[in-house]
Amino acid sequence: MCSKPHLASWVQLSLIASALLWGCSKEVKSGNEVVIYTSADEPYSQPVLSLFKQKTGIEVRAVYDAEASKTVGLVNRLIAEKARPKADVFWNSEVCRTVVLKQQGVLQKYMSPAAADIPSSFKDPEGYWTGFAARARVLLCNSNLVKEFPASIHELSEPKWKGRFAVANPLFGTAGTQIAAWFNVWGGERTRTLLGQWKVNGVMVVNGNAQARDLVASGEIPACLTDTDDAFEVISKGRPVRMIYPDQGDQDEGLFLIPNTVCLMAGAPHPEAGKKLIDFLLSSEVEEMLANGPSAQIPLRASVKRPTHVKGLGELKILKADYEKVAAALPESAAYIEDSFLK
Amino acid sequence: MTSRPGLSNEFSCKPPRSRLQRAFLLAAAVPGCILLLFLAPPVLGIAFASFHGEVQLTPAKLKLIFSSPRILGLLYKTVCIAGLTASISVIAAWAVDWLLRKVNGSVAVFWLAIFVSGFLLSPYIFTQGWIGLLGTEGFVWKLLGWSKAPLSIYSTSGVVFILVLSHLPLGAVFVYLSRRLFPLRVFEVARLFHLPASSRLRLVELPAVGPGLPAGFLWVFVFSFWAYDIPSMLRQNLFSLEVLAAFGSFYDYGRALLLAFPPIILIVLLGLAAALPFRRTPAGFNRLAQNSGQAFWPNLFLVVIPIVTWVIPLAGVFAQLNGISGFWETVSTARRDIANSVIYGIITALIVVVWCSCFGFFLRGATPEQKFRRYFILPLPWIALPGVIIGMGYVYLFNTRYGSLLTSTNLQLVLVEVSIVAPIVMLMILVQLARWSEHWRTMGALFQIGPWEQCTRIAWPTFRVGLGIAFTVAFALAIREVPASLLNYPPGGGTIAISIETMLHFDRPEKVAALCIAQTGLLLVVSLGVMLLLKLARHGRNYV
Repeated sequence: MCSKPHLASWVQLSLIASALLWGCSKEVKSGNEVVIYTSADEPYSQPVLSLFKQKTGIEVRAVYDAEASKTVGLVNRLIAEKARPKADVFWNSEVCRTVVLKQQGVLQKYMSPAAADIPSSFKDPEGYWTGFAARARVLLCNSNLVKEFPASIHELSEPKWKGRFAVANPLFGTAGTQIAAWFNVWGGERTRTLLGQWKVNGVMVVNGNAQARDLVASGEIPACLTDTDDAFEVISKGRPVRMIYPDQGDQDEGLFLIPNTVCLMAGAPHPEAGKKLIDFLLSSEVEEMLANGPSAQIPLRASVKRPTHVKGLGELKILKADYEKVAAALPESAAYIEDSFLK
Repeated sequence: MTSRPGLSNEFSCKPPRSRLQRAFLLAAAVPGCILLLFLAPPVLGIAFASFHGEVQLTPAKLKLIFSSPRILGLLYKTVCIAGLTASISVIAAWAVDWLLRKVNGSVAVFWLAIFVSGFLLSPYIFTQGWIGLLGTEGFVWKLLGWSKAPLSIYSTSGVVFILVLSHLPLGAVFVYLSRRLFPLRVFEVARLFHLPASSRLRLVELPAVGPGLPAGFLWVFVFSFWAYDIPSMLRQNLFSLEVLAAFGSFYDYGRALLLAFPPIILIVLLGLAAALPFRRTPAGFNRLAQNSGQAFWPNLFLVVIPIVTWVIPLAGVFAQLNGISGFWETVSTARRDIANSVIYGIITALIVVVWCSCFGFFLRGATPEQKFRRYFILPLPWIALPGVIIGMGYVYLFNTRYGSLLTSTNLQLVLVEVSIVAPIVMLMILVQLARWSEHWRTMGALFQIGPWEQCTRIAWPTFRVGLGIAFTVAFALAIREVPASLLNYPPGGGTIAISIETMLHFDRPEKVAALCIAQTGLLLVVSLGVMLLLKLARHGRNYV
């Protein structure tokens, strides 16, 4: 007995075959696309990248970070891909790990004409990276739980703050960079003393800045150390929180400022499109967009228009850290955090 | 050759291979080789990278990592949470199974399908729903007029609560299957002779559900141990997050593998211990007669279970939506990720089902005991491997000269998802293949039909519903996978699960809720599509 397979069988086989063929197909590579890895939060970076596509017609294929690993994950991914780079551009939401990439030989020089009016302290002298729109490390307090707001991060070592404040895991992200900056500016001993005091004082270490912020916003913990963009996120939603720019007194050393950085990858598959994207990201337009957006980032150019709640560079006292040296302090900082602070 | 009581004679001798069998064996040879492509290379890759990276994989390093009180504390906490979750889940599953026996057979299958539907929903939905209801500013507390939540869902007990609700269906399936494989006559004898409760428990109940309890415990334990989404959302640092951080942050193959190694050994040992009850399993593939009447109270209780396990959390997610326009706005923004999820999910499910069917043919046992053991023990080392370790192995492979040929193709994420989804689908298909009968060979000879027709007229009609269900399960598991996808997704190729993961960190419950509902909608649409295709494929002649 022999009969032809039913039509439905052929339909199913055709579907399977075409799906498998699609799966094996390589995406068309053209000069009209650019691959960007970015540790900038997706809700803030995605509109910027969409605007670039709209203006230039260049397709942007992005890889965003995961909150758990933050910048560190993407930096290590770029190092792992060094021999066969897939990214053209890296938009880092901080600076020190971009310096690490430079030291690892993962970057190529590109001095963007769009960055001419950005202060030189936020640019690599050799042209491997350029900074733009910054965030600051701030204190966030729940105004229902805190009556006397701290003015300095050093106050968190006092007994009245025992078990009442949180920080993001300092192995990653801006929390890690800030501690490396302290290692650079204050020296190892003073930094270890402060962190040791925090540990004795029952600091709560959480997965990320956003989680620390949420704990404060929901009233589960009175205070935390976080970034301005995280703080503005809950302020804009009317949560009972207050953001404090720490260490702004005459005798204080100032807060830690973290500019975004952008760089071109060595061996980038689409270098020309990559340069165009870098030029766009370094434009005043993007700084203004980021200042006026929900992340309320601090423009590095004085000329950029910003809303009243976003402070200008001139209004803040900033910790004088050399980003190259901060990057050099990262291994010492990470080793201490892993072996002592988190243990 | 003597056969044990209860063993059907068809299992007692080994008949010569039919044309259908030969065709299947030939077809299985290729997917069998592909096993090496899916699983062995990433595992070997990560082992190779571990020995050749900066951080060498050495016993000294292992000792160093596991002498850290933080790591040990984390391991202890995770084992306790997974153990507690698994214990509660199987006990609850046993109770569910007891209720299922009280209702009509087809009604019992219906309820089981409803429970399993809950398991297929993303853990994000469970967690987000319950956060909306019992979170710090939860709907329930507002309803009661309490300004402050009396208990926090952001706690260890909160994690156990949601893990139990999301994994209870898995336990229920194992207990149900175990009982279905128990001889009906033993139940009947126990009933006729009015055995006392203690004897009934010892002689009937425990032997019937005995294999299902440890099997359910093990699978729930493994899923809970390596759970990423639920502890992450409830701000609890468990072992899976530590392994992901070790690699996702530092690309430290050695440290991640060292961290994962002891739990994998623990799981395999637990699995082997759990497999022991199979030795005592009475054989026989009889269908258990169900009560023919419609029992009101059991049905009432059975209604409550899916309501608690997935209807309430789903309602909690809906309650967080910011209106229809807000929903569409979020979905529109994430349309690319949604489309990617559909494509990756369908291709993953196709590959997994085809491969598992062919490879499962090799693994199917001749006797019920063999079937039990093979279903349970063979996938064990595989399920013990966390998805993140498989994902890491692929990261290594994609960064080699030949592996980089696959990067930026749609296969990059598909390969990762196939490797992670396959064990549970393999189990489902092996259970289906238990229905394989050597009598079909005779039937084929009788009708003088070739291998193609044997496949399309005998095998396909027999297994198509099971394969359709396996496809849907594979799709559901693929579209909700997060940790390995985070490490491997190609530029511009994010998925809806990754979108949810991203949105979770921006205090945007309305967007998370919209994406969770979109994810559930995708699952619903694909399930309906599969049902439609199966209905279409019913037409035409077959010999079954």
